Amino acid sequence: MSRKATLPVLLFVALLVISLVLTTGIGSVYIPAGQIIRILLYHLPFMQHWIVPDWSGASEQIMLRIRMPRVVLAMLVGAALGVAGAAFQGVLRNPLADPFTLGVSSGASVGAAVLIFTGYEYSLFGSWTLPLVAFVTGMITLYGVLMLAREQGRIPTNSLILSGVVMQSFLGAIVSFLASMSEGSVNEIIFWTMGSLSLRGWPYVVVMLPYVLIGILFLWTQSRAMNLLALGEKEAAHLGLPVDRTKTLVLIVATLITAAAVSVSGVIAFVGLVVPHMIRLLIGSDYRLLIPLSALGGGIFLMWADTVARTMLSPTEIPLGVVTAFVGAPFFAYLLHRYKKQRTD
Amino acid sequence: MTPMRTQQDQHIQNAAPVIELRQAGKAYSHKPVLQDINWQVQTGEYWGIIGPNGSGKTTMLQLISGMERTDTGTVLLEGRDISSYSRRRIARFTAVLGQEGLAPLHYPVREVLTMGRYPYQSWLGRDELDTADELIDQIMERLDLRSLADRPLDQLSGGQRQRVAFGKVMAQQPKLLLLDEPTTYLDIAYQIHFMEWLDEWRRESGITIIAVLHDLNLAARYCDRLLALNEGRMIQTGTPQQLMQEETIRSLFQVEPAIVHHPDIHVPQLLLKRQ
Repeated sequence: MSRKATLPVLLFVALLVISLVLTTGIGSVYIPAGQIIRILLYHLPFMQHWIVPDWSGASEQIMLRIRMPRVVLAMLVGAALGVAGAAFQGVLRNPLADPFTLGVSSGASVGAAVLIFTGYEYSLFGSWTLPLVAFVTGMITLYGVLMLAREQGRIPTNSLILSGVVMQSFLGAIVSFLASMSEGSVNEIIFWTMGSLSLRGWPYVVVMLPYVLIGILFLWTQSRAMNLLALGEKEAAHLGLPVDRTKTLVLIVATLITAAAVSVSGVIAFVGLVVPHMIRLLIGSDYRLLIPLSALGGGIFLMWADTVARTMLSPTEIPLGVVTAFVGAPFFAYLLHRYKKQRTD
Repeated sequence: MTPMRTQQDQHIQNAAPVIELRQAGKAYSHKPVLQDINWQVQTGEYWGIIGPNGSGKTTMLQLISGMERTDTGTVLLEGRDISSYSRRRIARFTAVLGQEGLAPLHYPVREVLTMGRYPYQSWLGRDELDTADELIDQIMERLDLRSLADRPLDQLSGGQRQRVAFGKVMAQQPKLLLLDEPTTYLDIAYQIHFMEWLDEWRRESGITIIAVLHDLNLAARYCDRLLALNEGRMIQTGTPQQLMQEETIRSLFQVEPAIVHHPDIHVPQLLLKRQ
């Protein structure tokens, strides 16, 4: 990484840490930032000698048991969706591709929902089962969407999005139907189709972390390949890139981290679209920088979006996907307009 | 730029032709596009492939660059079947420059030139050539791209982008360069510049060149040897003097030619009569 790249990365890491502390503090019980930092430090090894606990046990419990896992989960889900979006855009060379518009999120949610409503969520591989099954159904959906959109070996931007939308509404209907069949409430349906992070504790973080971490690192190693693909598939092949193998691998891994995110949070729309494009506007399209910044930016974005979701109408929660759609859908419209203009110019 | 190969190297490479086609054929949906091509290209030669539209010129380049497989016969790269090479291995040997140049992307010129180094980079992006940065500097100096180094491609003209594409190919340090009508969208001044840069690079590095050219006069001026294709078959190979005969051109392109001699460099040049 060049020196030019270090500054934005450091800036985003700083923003991420600040957001983590601030959003942990915000809620029905306000916890000041200074106190959060001291509680955190207190729980590091050997720090007990230096810090005198002057806070109430209740706020420590609220912070560590309720707020923190949720904020960290928002960060991981955001990072996963942000990077998956950038990767889908990179290998499909389609600016409007993201886990949601491609129907991959909905596909993954079908797998997860079937398992949960039939009570098999801990079969086979214990707590790892859910993300893996969500991955399989997400992969099948992606394959279906790509096949549906293909016209003579090419995949036009618009028909890809259309296929995604068709798949999405069909799969969304399946999930809603399953939720209605179980004794679950309307809330459960909303959870799956609009996304939510309520009542998610540390175990979910543990399940998600390895998938997301390894997935993002892998996609980062493919960033130079995605830069080459921007030149065109033929050009990339002439420069020594095994194009088909690279595309397949990236699609698989992007689907895997999407599935990991969806199996804890349901379908959260547009994160993979808004975040990478914001980053593109800031630093350009170099994937070596775009991938890590989409991870950090996605984390920051979703931590704040979830804070809005849980506090704005407190004690009622707004589904997280509603918040992201309020930002994401107009942004999608803007992108559509911009690329239309670019094509006619 | 690339160091001159030593005599010994030359000798070793002469052992096997750079490219050899043996009874090579290719068909698309049962329609033959190329049939029974037997052809050898030796190190350092500069070949032009000529022929009318649809005669199989571009398909021929695709076989040589390993992008397409033959249906019959084989393509040998330095004596070995080309299908046994990885894409990366081919890219370290063969570079391809097409007619469209580069898409107007938002990547700075210097970054695009560095992409030419991809086949030499480890998965962490480290170049196996320690002086890769200097190589890129030299290329920019030479192609007058220095002042554009940080400008993104989408702010450049078509001619400038084609120059960047050429620079990227140079950064790839190939032993074999394939050109697919590289001067199509260039004005005549750029065409000549381009062909002269190419000639200079060739003299320094001893690179082998195979070019598909529509412009027969450019082909006659710069190539050592020409190969004429018609309806997927090899009609004739030889020097420009041998091929640029009125009879050959007439039967190949169905036009009425008049061959004249270039006043300075004594190569045949083609004029067309009205029909």
